[in-house]
Amino acid sequence: MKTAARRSPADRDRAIARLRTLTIGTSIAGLAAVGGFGAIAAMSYDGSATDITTAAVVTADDGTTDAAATTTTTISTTTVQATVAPTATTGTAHAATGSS
Amino acid sequence: MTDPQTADWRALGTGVRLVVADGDLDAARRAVDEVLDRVDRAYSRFRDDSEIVALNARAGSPVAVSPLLGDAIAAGQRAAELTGGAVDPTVGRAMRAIGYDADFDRVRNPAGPIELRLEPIPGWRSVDLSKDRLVVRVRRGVELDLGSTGKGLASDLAAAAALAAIRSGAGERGRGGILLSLGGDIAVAGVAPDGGWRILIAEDSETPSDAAGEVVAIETGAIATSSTTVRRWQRGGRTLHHLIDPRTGGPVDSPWRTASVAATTCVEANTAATAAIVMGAAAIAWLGARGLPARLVDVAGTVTRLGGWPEPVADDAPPIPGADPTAKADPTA
Repeated sequence: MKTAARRSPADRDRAIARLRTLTIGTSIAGLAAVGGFGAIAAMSYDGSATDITTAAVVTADDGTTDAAATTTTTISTTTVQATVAPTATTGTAHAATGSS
Repeated sequence: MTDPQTADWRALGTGVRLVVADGDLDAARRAVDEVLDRVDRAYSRFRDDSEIVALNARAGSPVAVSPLLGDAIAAGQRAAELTGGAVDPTVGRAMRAIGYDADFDRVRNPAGPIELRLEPIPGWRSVDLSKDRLVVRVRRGVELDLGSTGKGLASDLAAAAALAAIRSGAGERGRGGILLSLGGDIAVAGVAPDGGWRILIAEDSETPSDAAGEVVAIETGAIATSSTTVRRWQRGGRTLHHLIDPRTGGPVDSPWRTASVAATTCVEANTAATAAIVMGAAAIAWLGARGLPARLVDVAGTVTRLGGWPEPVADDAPPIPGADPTAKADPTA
């Protein structure tokens, strides 16, 4: 009958050392993953939101715009909405922008 | 569409222009007056019985505020957050420190020298606003001034109210349009006239709209302009203006003298225009990152256009007074 080879104390110490290495490596990898995902989450966070009552302009299906006197809408606090650039034109202006 | 009708008057210490396309001008004006009256009572610094004067007087204590003042403070805080504090609602003490402590018609008159004790402003985080409970607590020693964002917000609200007024009972959805200029902060709403709302780009909002200069058109949104060239006054031989640098508490020393910005709302346009002056050279990257169309005039009069702001039409583009006609290409493009 074949029996298992007898292990020496040195074998036991090597096994323990391997287990310790595996434990430490796994811990480091876990920490790195937490840090990495945390950094990605921080970079992709686009700001908090708040309720603000403001003039609301709504574009209808026919391309016209409508506005309610006031409405409550949730907007980002850290971004501005893109807008269409003005176009150059000629003729008498309806109004002048400037400082007051 | 019939020719737009126009009304001009003064309110909140500045000029108001209301232009109505296809609608009842009188009804629109009544709606605008009502909004501006509420604004005056809510956040005029120069009215002893305004809410904001009472709020500033009770700094350190929680104070109940109206929905309008709550919205205006929220807009000021949002402007500060958007601009990294370049536009901040806690400049009240700084404004008083440089002599802007009354309606500007009185401030601009010659007065004796003042001792300037400048200090960085406390910052918008020194204001606690509960939007749900409409309670505000301003840290002791802090004074709110919502002048910049408050004017833009007033333009947005007044334009929306005027549009609602001309459409009320009209029975035909989609007709009628409004342009509302409050001291040069312009908001439009509804259906624009053919070719859009034409806006003269000037440094001073009192410039007649038929004056020569660069004209642009918009169909929606808003355009606002900030400038160090207009609201200026003298104290003790020193020239001061109303755009505060939060880092110093004094009038900002900027490479830009004037900034015009187009945005979805007037409060955003005003915020960005004011921020551009305060940020200085960094404004180019800041505006570019947000895709905001802007026209910046430096102290020598050279114009820089950003974010798709158009070159002027050649035959109709004499420079604004004092401006260099040479336009720089968009450095962010």
